[in-house]
Amino acid sequence: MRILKICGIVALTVLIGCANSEAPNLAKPSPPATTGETAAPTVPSPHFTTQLETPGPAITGVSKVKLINDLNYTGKEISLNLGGRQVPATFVEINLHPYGFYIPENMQEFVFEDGSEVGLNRAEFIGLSEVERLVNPDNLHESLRFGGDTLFYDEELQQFEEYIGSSKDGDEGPRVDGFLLKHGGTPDMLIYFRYFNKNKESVLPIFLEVTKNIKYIEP
Amino acid sequence: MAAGHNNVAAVGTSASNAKYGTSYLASYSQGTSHAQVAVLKANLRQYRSITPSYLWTSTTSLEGNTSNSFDAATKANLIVFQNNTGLTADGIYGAGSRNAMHASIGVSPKGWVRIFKSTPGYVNYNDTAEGLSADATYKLDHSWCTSACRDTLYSLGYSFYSYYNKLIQVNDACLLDGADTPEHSTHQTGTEVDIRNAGLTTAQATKFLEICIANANVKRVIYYTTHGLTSNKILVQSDHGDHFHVDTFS
Ligand SMILES: [Zn+2]
Repeated sequence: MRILKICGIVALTVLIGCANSEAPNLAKPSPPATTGETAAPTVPSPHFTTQLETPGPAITGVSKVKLINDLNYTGKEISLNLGGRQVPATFVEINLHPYGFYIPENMQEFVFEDGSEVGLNRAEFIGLSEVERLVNPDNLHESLRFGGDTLFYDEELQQFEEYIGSSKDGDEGPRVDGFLLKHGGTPDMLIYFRYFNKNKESVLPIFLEVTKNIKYIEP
Repeated sequence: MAAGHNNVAAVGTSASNAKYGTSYLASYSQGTSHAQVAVLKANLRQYRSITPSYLWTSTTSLEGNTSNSFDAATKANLIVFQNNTGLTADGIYGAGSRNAMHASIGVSPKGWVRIFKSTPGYVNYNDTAEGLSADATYKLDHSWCTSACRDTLYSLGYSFYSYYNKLIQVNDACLLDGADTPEHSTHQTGTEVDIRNAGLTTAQATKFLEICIANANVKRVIYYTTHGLTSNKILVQSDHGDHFHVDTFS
């Protein structure tokens, strides 16, 4: 009930394993935004899946792409492609997990006693959780019932290999989209988006772009 | 739209309403008209049906009274409820009454239980006047966890009490429906509870850590120091200066 600090994005100065982090990494612009409408994000070498290893309605023969391709941290700042515009984003590390996100100016870090989140506000954010700490580690989709009522699959997100499903509380209310991040030798992570379903059009593209650029930070 | 309440009449603030997309009031009293008042009346009818009838003699029945308006009968029934549950009997339904209603008839869709108001092993800080006022921003009830977790709390507290004649203060666990809470990053699985360290000496805090480490259902304790103990169950985090965050296995 206390111990909530909203940290400005500039507050994060401790970066591990990065000697030359001051120079913005402009040499590596992001690929165009994947808003989903086009269903084919232009990421380098799309990874095709023929096996039905993801849960959800079986769609045989449909190729899926990886949302997250490169977890290597390269510098404190990059630019993100948001709505076709390149916007600067600053790296923030997530408390208690060896990961971090590049977040644009309209997002901030929310620090809690037991971890942190990055978001547009307290109701619309990206969170991380170790899979083994979930209520149902064996049923990830069920684990997304963070109070949300209905489990479903979002067609737009089905293109991503990491997508494990969504939950929502009515058409206007809060929804959660889940993604499974596997990173060899480290605990499997659930990345989840929590936002209002009515705001999907504006929020989802931002969260996808931010998540696409998640980085691993050696603990 | 449960948002931490499920079957029990919900209270909220602008901050919690923004979080869940709800429009709950911080309190309801005679004259209020709100959909949650109809829920409150249903709660009071249910509570009345499971408590001795002599408590309710001369109290107008709420049978068939299903409107959204908080009338004199609602107030009279609420006052009986408040007297019965050790609350100030002011006839106003706020976070304290909501907590007591949760404890009386609340149903967790997750199958969790509510941490007791007080036991020989601990007190629930959320149900104290101080705890309620500290929760003013969101007015949510973070008192829910799995029954194994609640048993573990009792066992930790009872063991601690046997050394120091002092009850531990249990603070936030989870919301009854496991909803994402604006006050914690985790606290959604029914196996995460905060224990306050207010008033504990170093020796007492060390003993509490020892008791946690020795408990088979304690998975991890996050605290600002190990107090010299060696255990991979203790995770040191500098911002945990005022409480122990305890994770249980089940
Ligand atoms: Zn905690």
